[in-house]
Amino acid sequence: MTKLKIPKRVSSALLNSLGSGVVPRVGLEYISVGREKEMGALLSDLEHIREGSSSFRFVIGRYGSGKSFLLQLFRNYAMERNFVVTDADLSSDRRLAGTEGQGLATYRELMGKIATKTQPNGGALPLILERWISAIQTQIAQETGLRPEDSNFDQQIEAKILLTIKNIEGLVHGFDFATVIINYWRGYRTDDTIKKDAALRWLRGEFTSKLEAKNALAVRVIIDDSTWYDYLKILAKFATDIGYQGLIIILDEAVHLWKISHPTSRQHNYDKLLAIFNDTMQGKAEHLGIIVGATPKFLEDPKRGLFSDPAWQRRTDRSRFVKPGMTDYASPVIQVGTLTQAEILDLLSNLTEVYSSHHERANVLQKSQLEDFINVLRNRLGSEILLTPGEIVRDFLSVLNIMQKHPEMSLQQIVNGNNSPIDTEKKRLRTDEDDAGMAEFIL
Amino acid sequence: MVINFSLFCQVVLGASFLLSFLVNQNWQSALGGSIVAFISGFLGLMAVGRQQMSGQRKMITVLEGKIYHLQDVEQHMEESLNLLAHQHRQVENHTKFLQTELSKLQSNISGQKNYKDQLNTDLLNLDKYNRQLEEETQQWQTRILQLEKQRVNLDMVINSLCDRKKQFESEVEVLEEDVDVLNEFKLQLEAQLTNLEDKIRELETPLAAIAPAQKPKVTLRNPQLPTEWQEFASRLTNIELEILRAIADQNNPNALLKKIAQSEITMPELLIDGINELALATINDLIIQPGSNPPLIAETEYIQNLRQLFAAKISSF
Repeated sequence: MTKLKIPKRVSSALLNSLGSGVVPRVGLEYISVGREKEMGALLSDLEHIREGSSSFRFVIGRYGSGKSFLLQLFRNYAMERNFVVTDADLSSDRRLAGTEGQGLATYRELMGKIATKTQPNGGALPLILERWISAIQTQIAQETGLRPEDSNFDQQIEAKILLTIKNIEGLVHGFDFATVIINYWRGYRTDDTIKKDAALRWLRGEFTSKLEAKNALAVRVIIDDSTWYDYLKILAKFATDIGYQGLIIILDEAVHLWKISHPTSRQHNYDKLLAIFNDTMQGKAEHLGIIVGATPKFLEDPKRGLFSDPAWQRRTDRSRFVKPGMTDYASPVIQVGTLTQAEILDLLSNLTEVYSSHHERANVLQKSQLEDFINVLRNRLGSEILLTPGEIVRDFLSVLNIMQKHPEMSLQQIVNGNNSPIDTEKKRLRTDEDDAGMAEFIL
Repeated sequence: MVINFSLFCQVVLGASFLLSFLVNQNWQSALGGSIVAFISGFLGLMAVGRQQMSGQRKMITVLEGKIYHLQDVEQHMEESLNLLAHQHRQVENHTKFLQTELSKLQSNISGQKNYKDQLNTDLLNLDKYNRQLEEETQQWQTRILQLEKQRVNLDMVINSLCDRKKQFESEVEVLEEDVDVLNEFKLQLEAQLTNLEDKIRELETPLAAIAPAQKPKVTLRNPQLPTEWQEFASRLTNIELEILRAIADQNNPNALLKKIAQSEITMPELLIDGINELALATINDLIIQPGSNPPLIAETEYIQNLRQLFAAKISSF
């Protein structure tokens, strides 16, 4: 791990994200530690999806426990293994269903962030579309011997696109869908970027009215709140047809569904989630993996959580045989546990390596110093509840930055404070354990 | 009695005529007497004949009765003959059938006898095999006992090795601490080294000022392309090279991409994708920025490497 050459772009993005307390999108594999069981369960799902089935998982963890990190890391692993991935953070504007197009908003976000190994930052929809069309081209060239320069090549391509789309099961409005793809093809052939863009916009659900779509592409339908999930399944099928292993969809911050105050609206969203769950678990979707990240109250709140809905309770309740400390990885719920001390030490050690390699300096910190650092953090008030890997990492990076700017100061000095009166008093209180009878306050 | 009527007539008439003529010497009374004789003879013949006929009729009826009786008997005999023939045929068939059954049973019996012989031999073989297996089991059991003893020995050895391992681990910890200390010492020495180097430089500059600058300027040799870039270069096709050159020079790459896509029957995004996949596999990063339109090289420092790459490729032709 230490000798790997990390591209500057990646290490820069990684350190910047972590320094601001945000989950990075790239470079996670250089610092990931622990969580073997959780990742193992998700990776074994990938194997099943590769073979054609589908999976649905909840990844539940406290705020800052590293659940989003786990999801992003898994996203990167899936891309490396030749899956198409996409993700979206739910919010007040992005849900699964809603009267103001909040479901479609999620779809738009997902379609904008489609990513593959070679396009890890999203926007891979044109690649997938062109790969699909290229396969059609190859078929036509093989069947008819025509080449792109020949006069009726385009006609053959368009006919083949129509035929192939018609044969897709479960696709309503197949003719319109095929027309959109044909428009993309025509736009490409005639260098009409407006037409190409219009086709991509349609596929991303960015048309808000049928009239707009009719004027731009001569189609009578648009993707809307009731059909967007079906188009995601089509995307999964496309992805597999062109050689990828499947489609992985990650929906994080699902707690925003819990936050919906209107009960009917909230129930609609839970029902939509249930429909998606049933679809995947009953084998009606193929090569599709869906992972929903949320905090525990999303599931466990007895009044508003998913558990308040008996249909969900049956599906996600912990098996009565699973005792605390054990984990049931067959259940759709994966609980993200806390990192152990050793794992946190490894994490900081990896971070130091990345930092040193990025700034092209030698690594000057030893394990004992890292241990001291962690102990200082743990000694802060409220750390048992509030201290999360995200915070530890952020604080550590700030310390590394200080060390770089002030090479004369040692880690000890930086971490143990500037010897202000409050800090010294705090230290005195901590070490004064003989007088444990009375509490003392400093104002 | 078959009577020849013409002879009778002739004889009766003739004889009576003669006799009468002889007697009477009157041919008219002779003729009349012959005719009377003829008629009485005829009547007598008729009576006799009738009597004979009735007697014959009686015989005929008797004989006819006998004939009917015999015909009945003949019919019965024929029927019983048919019946017997039928029964005979049946019995023949049955005998044939029984004969075939018999032959089948005989072959069955011989088969069963063979099977019985086979079973006997099998039984004998199994006996032998069983004895063999018993011997082998005994051997294996002794071997198992031996191995159990060995295992116990090995367990003891493992325990002792564990103890030694713990010892070594504690020694290793001690050594690690030493290493830490030495690292610090090394850092100190390095600091000293930089100090000394500074001092050397300070001392050298006056020396350089004294000796006129006749040192030839050290020209930096062009750094060779790093190995991963060399691998990248070697795996690029000519078409991909052309594309990269167009992108690096920003020389209307979209048009070139479309032209190549049409001649290779592919699409522009796939061409870029292929190059990026190769880049990921060799230089561990993308070379063309994804989503850029027109396509751009991902990092400015890569453009330098690409120029070297193009130069190297040209010189290799």
